[in-house]
Amino acid sequence: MIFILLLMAAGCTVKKLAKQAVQFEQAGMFKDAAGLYLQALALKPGAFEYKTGLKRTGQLYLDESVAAITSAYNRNDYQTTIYGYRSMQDFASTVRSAGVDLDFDYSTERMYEKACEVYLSERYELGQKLLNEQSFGEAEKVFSEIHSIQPEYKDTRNYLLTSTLEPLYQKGSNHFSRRNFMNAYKEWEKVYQKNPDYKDVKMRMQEALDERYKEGTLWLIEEDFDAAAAALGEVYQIAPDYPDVKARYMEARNEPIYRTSKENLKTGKCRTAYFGFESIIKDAGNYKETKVLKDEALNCAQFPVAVLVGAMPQHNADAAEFEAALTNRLLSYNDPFLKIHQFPDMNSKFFQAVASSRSPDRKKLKELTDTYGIKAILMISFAEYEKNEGKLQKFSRTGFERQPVRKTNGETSYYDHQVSYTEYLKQNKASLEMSYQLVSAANGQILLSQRLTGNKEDQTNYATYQGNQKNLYPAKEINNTYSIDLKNYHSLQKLLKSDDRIQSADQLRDDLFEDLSKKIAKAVIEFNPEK
Amino acid sequence: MKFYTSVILVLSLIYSCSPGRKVQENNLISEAPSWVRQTPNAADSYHGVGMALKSNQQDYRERARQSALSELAASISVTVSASSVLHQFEFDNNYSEFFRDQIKMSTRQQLEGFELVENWENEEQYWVYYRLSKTKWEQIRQERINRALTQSQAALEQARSFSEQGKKADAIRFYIQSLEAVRNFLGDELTIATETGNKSYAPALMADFINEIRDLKFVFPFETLRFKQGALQNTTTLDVKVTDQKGNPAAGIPVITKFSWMPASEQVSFTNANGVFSINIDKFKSGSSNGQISSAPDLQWLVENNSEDMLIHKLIDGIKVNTFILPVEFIPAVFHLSLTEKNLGKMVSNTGLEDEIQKLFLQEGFKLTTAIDDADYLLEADIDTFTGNERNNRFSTNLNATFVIKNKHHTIVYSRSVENLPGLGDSYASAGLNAYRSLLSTYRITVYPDILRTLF
Repeated sequence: MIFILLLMAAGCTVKKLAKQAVQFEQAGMFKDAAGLYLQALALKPGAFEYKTGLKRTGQLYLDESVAAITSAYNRNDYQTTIYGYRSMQDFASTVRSAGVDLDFDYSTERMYEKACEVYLSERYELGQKLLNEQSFGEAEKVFSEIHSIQPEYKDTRNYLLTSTLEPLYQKGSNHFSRRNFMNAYKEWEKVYQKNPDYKDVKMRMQEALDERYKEGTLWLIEEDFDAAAAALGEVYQIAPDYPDVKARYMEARNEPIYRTSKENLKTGKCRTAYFGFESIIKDAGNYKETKVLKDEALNCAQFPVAVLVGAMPQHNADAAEFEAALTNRLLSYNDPFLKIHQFPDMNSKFFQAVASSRSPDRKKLKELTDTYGIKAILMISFAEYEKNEGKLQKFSRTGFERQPVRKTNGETSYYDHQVSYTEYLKQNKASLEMSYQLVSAANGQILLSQRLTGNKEDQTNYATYQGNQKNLYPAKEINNTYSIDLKNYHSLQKLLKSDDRIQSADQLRDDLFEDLSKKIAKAVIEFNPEK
Repeated sequence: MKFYTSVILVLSLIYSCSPGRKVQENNLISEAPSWVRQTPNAADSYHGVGMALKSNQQDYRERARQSALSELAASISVTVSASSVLHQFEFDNNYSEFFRDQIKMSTRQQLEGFELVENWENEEQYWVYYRLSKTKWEQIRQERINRALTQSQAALEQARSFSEQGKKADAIRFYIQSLEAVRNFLGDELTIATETGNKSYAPALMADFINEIRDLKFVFPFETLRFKQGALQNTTTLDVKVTDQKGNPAAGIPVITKFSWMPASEQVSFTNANGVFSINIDKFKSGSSNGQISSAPDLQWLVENNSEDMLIHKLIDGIKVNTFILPVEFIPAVFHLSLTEKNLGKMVSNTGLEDEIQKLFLQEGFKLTTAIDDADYLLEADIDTFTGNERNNRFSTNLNATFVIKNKHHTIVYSRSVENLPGLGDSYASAGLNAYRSLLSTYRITVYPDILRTLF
């Protein structure tokens, strides 16, 4: 059915086109009429009435065109003659493609040829004049027009090329004269891409690069590293193989960092120096003595920290857990400077020496520094700690199991049977109140200090019933009498489906320690002793 | 449901595709006379039938009349005789068509001798029928030819008289008037009676006119004009005399002059009372060693200023005038180079600069000499380098250069300085030489084009 509809619609369109064509033809608008016949023929190829219509109107339009061309030619309007003829040729060729040949008046061809002779000669001379006057844009238009009419006319191709490329070539020269070498390069590159053999453009591109390279190197000598890096970078981007450019570009980029890093190393800012050297190695590989100096900076920037964990009365095992969690966390950062030291045997001795008195025991600190090279002590003090594994509480509850009963008259009634089910409740908890301090081993200065608290809890509440759980309703007690509690049915169903699993107190403790040790480790890692 | 929708669609398509109502045939002119339905074709006359609709038109009678007369005029054929001027001067078919159109247009404008045969009207239309007897028309036409010939001959007499007196511009003006007088009959074989019998008129007139134009002779002051390139700093004037073949000066003649090195440019000038016109030659640069100045009478100007008749313009357009050529020889400028090249204050050679300068001059067609007296221009260059900075055994220098060009009279005609061109090297000396490389580029890209722009 759809196919039939489509066929009918196409047929209808063709008829409408033909009808319109007749109207245009009657109005003397032969070109429009011919256009419509062409469309109709495209939809219904070979249709006799449309083909004859096209032949008739096309010929009439062609005759009109011939008259217009002749008139223009006689007025010496050669431009109109040429474009009129070309348009007429295009029209005839379109009509021919539909299988209709029109009778051609060949006198117009002679007119066209003569008009071309005069018009192209005039335009060619004008184009040359415009080129002489350096009006390249206008010249390009003129030669493009000639090229579109007769591509092989005299030296049109070359002139067209000149009018297109010469402005770019000259623009490049102007940039070069103003010492804007890279802009010059870009303009000449455009010329080169269109015609690599245009004048000396290839050589000029090289010269622009040479000059920019020289400029960059001079700035390098003058130690204007930013300017040098910009200039050499541009050359490097375009010509990575340009002799020495990579080395000099790297020098321009990294020499100021190298110098600053060396100075930092000298003044004890070893960590900053280390990062500087590292960035140079990343960028330029082995630049000067960077690798050696980086090692030196790393060695100098070492920050050995002794972790002293205070007592946690009655929970020594948990205190050890905390220490382990903190140490793991600190090590996970792979900080190149931080080294962790633990003194399990002397922990309490040192801890008391450093923390218990109002001012740290300098002797003990010195002992840590001299004996172990410790630069700072991370002291962990616990204030309050609670870990509680709750007991599973069990409650026997009264409920009703409801059963539907179908009566003989078709109605449904319910039979509520009183039953017992069990409800369970359990709660686990871990909480810690603590503080940490990072104390300089050199002078007892407190470098970092913070009080932290944390709390983790988990609980479970569920119910079990051996019978049909879906029919189980809670009961409500009024005056020692139980009745079905329809309102809380869903609450009970939720309890019946609840998970009976619960995080243990140890798991809660581990999570808590993880959170707190993460905060402490982050603070220690971010601490820069050089600031 | 789907079925009904489809049926409605098909029906609506059938309806939309059906042809419109047929317009009922108009029987409005069924009772009209026969000349309304078909224009008469009796051979003894030219006929014209015109119609105008009455609706909303006050001037329908006049419109119908014009339409009828147009048809009548169109039926009068225009022929181009084999012995006419158009054939004799080998105008092409296109021109003949143009000529026919022009004649038809003037025939319609000057139509006379016709008679109103009849008119007929109904509620909507007004019809009119005119007729012109062929015999009568031939008579009218012959009278017109005679009048035109008389008028043309009078103008021709005048033209010849002015020509005898050497007043060429006036002579040409009257030749054009003479042609204008017979313009409607240029396709006919126009004859005049002479002592030796009948003689073809228009071709003779045309030949006379062409001879008058071609009689003009241009006398340049030189056989060849020689220019030293770059020597022309201001406009130079060249006086050219225009005479007839007897040597009498031709005054008031418009002249068009073209220069081979300046395409699409032309100068228009007029000869003075002594038959002299001036050509102004501006400073120029030519890419070749030879050129030419060509001058010719500006026939187009003469025609356009003496006739508004398109037919006459077209007729004279086809006449080729003599062009007079003055060969021009461009003598290349000769340069002498004097370079003082120093590096850190010490004289150096083989920097490549001299070779570069020479190469560029020779490429442009200039000549070089080692003898100062033979040179048109002396290029003096003074170059030296100065120490810059040093770092990590890298040395830099700066180069300063001045380029001065003097003419034969030792007057400075060009001067330019180049400063602080950088050089790099592993010593100051090598850096100095390296700076010369930048100078070479700068000279070629910046200085040399500037020299050409300034001097040539």
